[in-house]
Amino acid sequence: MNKLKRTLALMAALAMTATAFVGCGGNDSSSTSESKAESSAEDSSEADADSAEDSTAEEESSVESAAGYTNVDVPALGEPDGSLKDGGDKLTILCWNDDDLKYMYDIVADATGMDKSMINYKNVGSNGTDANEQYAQVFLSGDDVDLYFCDADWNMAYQNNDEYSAPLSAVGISEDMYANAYDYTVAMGKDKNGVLKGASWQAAAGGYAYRADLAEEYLGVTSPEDMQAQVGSWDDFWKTAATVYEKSGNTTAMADSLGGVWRAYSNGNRTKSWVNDGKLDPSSVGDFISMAKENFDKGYISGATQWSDDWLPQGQSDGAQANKTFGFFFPTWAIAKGGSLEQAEGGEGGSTYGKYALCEGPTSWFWGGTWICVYPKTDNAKEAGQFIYTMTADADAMQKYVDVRGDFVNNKGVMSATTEAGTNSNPLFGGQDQFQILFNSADKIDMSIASEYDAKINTDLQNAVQDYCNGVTASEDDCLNAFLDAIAADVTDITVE
Amino acid sequence: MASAAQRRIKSISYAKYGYMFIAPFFLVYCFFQIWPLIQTFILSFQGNGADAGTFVGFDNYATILFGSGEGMGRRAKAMQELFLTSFKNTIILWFGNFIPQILLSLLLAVWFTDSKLHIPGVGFFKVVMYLPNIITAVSVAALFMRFISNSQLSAVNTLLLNAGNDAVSFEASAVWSRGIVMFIQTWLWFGNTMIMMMSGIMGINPSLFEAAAIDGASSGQVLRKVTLPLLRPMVVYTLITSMIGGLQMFDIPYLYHTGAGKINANLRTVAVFVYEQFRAGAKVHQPDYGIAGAASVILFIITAALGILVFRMNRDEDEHRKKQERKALVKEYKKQQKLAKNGGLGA
Amino acid sequence: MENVGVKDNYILVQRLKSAGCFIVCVLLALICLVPLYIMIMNATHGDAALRAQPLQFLPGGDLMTNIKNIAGGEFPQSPNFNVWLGYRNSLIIAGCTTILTVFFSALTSYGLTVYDFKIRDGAYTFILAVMMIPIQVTSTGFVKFMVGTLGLANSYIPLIIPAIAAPAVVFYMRQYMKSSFPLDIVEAARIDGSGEFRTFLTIAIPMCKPAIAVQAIFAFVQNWNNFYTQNMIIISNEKRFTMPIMIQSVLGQDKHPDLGAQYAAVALSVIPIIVIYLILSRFIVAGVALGGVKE
Repeated sequence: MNKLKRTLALMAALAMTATAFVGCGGNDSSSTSESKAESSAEDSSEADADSAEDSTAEEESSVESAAGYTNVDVPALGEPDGSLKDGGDKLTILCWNDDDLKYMYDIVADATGMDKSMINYKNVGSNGTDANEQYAQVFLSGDDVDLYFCDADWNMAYQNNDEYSAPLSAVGISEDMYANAYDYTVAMGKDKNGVLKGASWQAAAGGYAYRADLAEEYLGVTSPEDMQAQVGSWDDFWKTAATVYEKSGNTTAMADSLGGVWRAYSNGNRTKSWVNDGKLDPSSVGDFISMAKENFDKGYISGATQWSDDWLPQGQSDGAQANKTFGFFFPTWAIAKGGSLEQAEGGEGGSTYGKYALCEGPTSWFWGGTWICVYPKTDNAKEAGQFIYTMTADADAMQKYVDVRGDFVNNKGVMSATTEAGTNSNPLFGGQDQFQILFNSADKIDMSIASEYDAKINTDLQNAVQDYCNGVTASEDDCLNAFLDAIAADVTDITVE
Repeated sequence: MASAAQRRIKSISYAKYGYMFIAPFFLVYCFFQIWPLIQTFILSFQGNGADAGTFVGFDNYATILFGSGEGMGRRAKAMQELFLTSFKNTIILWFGNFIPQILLSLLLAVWFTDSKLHIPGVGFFKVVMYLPNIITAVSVAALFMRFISNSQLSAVNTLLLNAGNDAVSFEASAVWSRGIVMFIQTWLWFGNTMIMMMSGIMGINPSLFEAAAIDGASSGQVLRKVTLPLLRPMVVYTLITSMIGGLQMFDIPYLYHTGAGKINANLRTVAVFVYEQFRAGAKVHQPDYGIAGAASVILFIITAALGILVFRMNRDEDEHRKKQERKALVKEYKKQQKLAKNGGLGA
Repeated sequence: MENVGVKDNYILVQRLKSAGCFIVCVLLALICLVPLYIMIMNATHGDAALRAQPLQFLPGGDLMTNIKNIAGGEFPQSPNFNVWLGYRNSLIIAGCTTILTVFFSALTSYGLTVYDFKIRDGAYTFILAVMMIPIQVTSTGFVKFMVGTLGLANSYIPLIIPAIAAPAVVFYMRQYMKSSFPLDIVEAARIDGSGEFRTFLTIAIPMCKPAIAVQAIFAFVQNWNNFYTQNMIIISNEKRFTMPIMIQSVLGQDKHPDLGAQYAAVALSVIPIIVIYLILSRFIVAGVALGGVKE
């Protein structure tokens, strides 16, 4: 605990010094640095409701509030209310990969006494964004599905559709079971009428995972705290990017992909929902397009696309993509065991295995998170309830999940205890405990600006910006228009002016 | 005459078998083709997304053809743009694979059938050149994606990087991506067209070539004055069927892109456009059956127009005349039968 | 003397021309073969070797590892890829459709050729007219009807049963029967007391064997390779995935790419059809010349 406080104080101090050098940058950065200074001066700063960007400012206060968090007691799992079928022989879970599920089997079996062979899954084998489309197909086909995993980009679309999702109360789960969960996960688990329809086992706070070896070589930085001081705001981030690019002989980009920058910006700096009253609000894009284009052209953002063959291999120091990027914008699930970071390091024994470190990055942000929903045509209401309860409300089981998987679970008490114990050591970061960094961000995630159309909007925006950066579209206006046209064509039920 | 008449009697009395024999075809065709076609027409007059099922008249056609639609904001223009671009893409891709394909096929067919050239191993070449045509299009797309694509791990980009050059985003460039798809399509189909052309040339009466040779015509003259004119129906037939095939172009353009879910805008053909619209889940909630239906109907009208041309060519005029004569004969015979019957009864 | 010179010259020019044409043909043959050859060679090399040298011309020793890594190993390239299941499912679909297509097309064309009945000409004209209508224009209604109304997603019924009605095959077979099936034989069979259907089975089908064989091969290849329809219908049940659907999921994979495994998957998907082709090649090429199918 003491160590943590010291670390944070140091970070804040460094951030202040850093901002002194920054001078007057963009609006974002100056407001961030001001509030940073304020908050470190007085202990309890109130978070501005609309300022997702002054995230670092809240660090101090949230450390006080969340760090010592002790779980309140939550009710035990109730009985299914009988509106859904029961007594099916298999609990079938629809997912888009089995990275998490593999670890859940044992935990659920231990906690509930359910036979492990009872649980099986159907893997649609796509990435999280496209699973959205695959699921609709599976539902259309009438296959047996009891539970399904939903990505943060589109879980609301599924929860708002009564044909796709049943209220969790139907399987014996009530909202008061989530007293210890991060608020945003509960808010996003509700449909448009406020009915709880999904529960998340993870809080997906994100950070900037960077190459510690290159940081020392190019920047003389040896600790995550020092690194954070260099990338604490977008202005600082791009300034450091210039140094990295230059020192690497114009080969190493600061950011792994446009998509990564967009995720951090979208869920860290965006202040408005994309959709209001059934209309798209284009101003939500903020200054992202110009920021992306400028830094892409300078070589600070890599040309690789997220989830393509080129993306992760950039993280290694050998191969065709060697040292193409200095770091990745990664959320908790990507830096857990077997996650994307492990692949970016080339797996165990890879050229950069363990050579990464994690800092918070220019903004407090999150990426994804997975909600579990109940398919209304389930025939295993009881087991469905048991599975969800174990993974999302049972603190003991969730603690186990942290231990085996290294994921950041959706339970403040568990994460507080884990962080304080400081026993977590992530070999991907050469032993650094990622929770020390992410713990503070998780409490600050504000998802009131999410919309059920975010999946398509994110995809279309990234495609449009990628095209702009690659010179397919000539100007920022063209890029914005291409994006709006794509949304207009792709999303039938909202109006795009 | 008597035996012929007898045969006619028999064939008439066996008519019910005719119906029985062709019934399965027509039942299945109506259920799996005609009814869906009618459904497609109906859907084209209905709404999209949340409005599925409501009658909207010609709105969908107005949207994709003229970009008009009240209260649709940007959507009408965007849909029109998307549809017209898909049309443009289809035409460009078709031209780009048909022209090299027909030229290459003609050239090879002429060479292979030219007795003076004596190219050894014609049989082998035919087998090898037809080979790509039987390979699964999806596998071909996957293979070429590994050879040449945006990915820095694609063979061409790896070679470029190894040689110290920058990797190329082949898919981002309209010229590259279309060029690659054109190449793949030509690669797949030139062998097929070549064999068709060869059988066309071999169908030409050999005495014509002999006569030309006796008259001292050069190979070029034979080609221009004998082969090509006589091959014209064959070429026209290939042209039209290939056009119809081109309108359906789907597999390779649909699959040639890195990363799931993002169709390459330069390769979005009409068939791909239609598919995207009716595929459930591609939209956030409900598919755009209305737009898909309208685009299908437009595709149908164009195909039908081209189809009529093929139909005319397929219907052997000679045969047609014979059939008419036969019909007249049968009619007459029936009349006589009827008369005889009536007469018989009367007596 | 001069004459001989001209003749020599002429022969020389002819020879040069032949040689030139031959070289062009060899080049084209190479263009056809080399991608497939590299595919097979690459399938025998590991990921690391392919990243260094992406075009392998000699066989390596990693084929089995690659095959194992398609759906297994640390980073499965395509978790639903199962080569035997894919072969089996594709074989079921291609086999059934082939049998249905040739049998019912023969039946239909026999009916149209042998019998004279009122709607015969109308029926034939109809078949000619619809011959060119592609599935693409009816697919919107097809999907809505099959998947939406009848709930036949993942079912093989919408993939197999429509094969009964293949207008182009009927057209082709009717042409064949017109030219090489003497109607007197039917007459003779009737006199011998053979039933109509038996005549069709025991006399017409054996006599039309060449046409049936050609159409059977094309129907098989076409259905083995069919992606468009299968992709609309087989949407979620991995046990029903056919080879093209499995390959598509290799294309869509977002995991750590294993180039060797990907080449192996593609190679596995095309090798059976290449083998069949090479065995029947001359026959197939002759069939194309007779007016085979065109996409």
